[in-house]
Amino acid sequence: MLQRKDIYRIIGDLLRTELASHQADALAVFDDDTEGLWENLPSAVKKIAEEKAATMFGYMLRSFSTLERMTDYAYASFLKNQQLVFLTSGSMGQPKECVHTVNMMWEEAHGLVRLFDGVTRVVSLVPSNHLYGFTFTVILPHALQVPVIILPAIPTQSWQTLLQPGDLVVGFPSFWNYWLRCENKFPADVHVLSSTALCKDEIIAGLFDAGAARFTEIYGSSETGAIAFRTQAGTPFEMLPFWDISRKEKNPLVKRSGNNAWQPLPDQVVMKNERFLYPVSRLDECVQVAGENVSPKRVETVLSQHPAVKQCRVRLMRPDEGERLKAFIVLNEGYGPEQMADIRHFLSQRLTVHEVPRTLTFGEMLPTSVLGKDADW
Amino acid sequence: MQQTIDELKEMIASCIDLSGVDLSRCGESTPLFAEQGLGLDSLDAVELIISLQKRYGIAFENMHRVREMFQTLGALAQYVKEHRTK
Repeated sequence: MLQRKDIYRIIGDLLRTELASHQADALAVFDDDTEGLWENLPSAVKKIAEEKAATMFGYMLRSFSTLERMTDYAYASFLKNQQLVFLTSGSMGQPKECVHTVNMMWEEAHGLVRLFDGVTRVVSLVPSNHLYGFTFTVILPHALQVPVIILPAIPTQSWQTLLQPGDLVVGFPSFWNYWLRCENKFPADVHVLSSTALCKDEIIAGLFDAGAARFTEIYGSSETGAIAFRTQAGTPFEMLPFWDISRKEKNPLVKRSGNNAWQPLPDQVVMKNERFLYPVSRLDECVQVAGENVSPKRVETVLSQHPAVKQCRVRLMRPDEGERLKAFIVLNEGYGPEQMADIRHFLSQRLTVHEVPRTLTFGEMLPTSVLGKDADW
Repeated sequence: MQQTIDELKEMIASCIDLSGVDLSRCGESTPLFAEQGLGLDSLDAVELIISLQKRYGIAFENMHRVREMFQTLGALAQYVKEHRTK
């Protein structure tokens, strides 16, 4: 199923993700020169990338002198193990290992192919080392027997010339929001795909107004893979055929047909008959920042460790403010606003780029409502 | 050049929170993405690219040029001067 070039691409995306996430190279995610990234890889980031690659491909941790050797080793491990291990974001603590076997990959591919009839190319705007990108830009193209075009997730490109009829463009809600802000238009007969977070109805409507011929949104998680899909705003998600659902518990459980392991959905859902669901809210308290799950509580815990911080609250920005986290900080006595730069540095050393609150607000006391509950600011 | 640099500082500050950065001390050689400079991160890069397109009509096609021109405020100002269409 997978070819060596797929493994090379996955490793390259792993490097880019780690470089950007740990703020070693903010522009790595847009850089297609994988060999160049490898050669200039900071040792701390190389260590983390090697650990994650060993987990993903299932071999004993080791260091590699070249990217080619690492790719060969990882590919050989994949062929031997017939599975890949994807890590959750770790937003709630230690990242969880999620095993996806080749059989599961084929099952998903066959279940998804029917949604993408007529697709002649897959255009990837997402990293292939995450399960969503892997499923839809590595496995699906093999199942559809179509080529993959990889583009950086920059919304200001010449889309009318880059895209062509029959393309399936694989993105995520934050990117589609940026895309619409740039007032882009789709050429004829382009199919848009979105996942990793719920796509707001106004974004879906905007994509159709911009000329998208078809839209598919996938609901799932790193633990489960793709569970359900929908093709219109405001409609429930339809479960993919290879899932069974049990509604005996308060929150439904799902399992792959032919598998004994029931597992929870990542969200509280409302079922509309047996095979259709509406996600309502996450069961953990995570929020999404640019396609990544982050835990505001975890960020609060880290922020509270700074000696200048007496109390803090972290939450997602309002839509008019942006799509990042923001923090409100009550400083300890003796500390003042000059701590801003030091606190930012402290956070950048301990959090991923998606977790770092972009806006820090200082105040005398935490914002609360008249009833004493946490309030926005 | 200084006028373009001042415009860029104002533009960046309007779309990205730069509190904690003393903009009056930022000039031609100030890095965009280093903590010692403006401290932008990869998520800010997309906001910056969108703002540059809307304000100056600049679209980015060549990612290698993006790295070069995002090195410093001066490099970005030079690129803007050469390629702005608005």
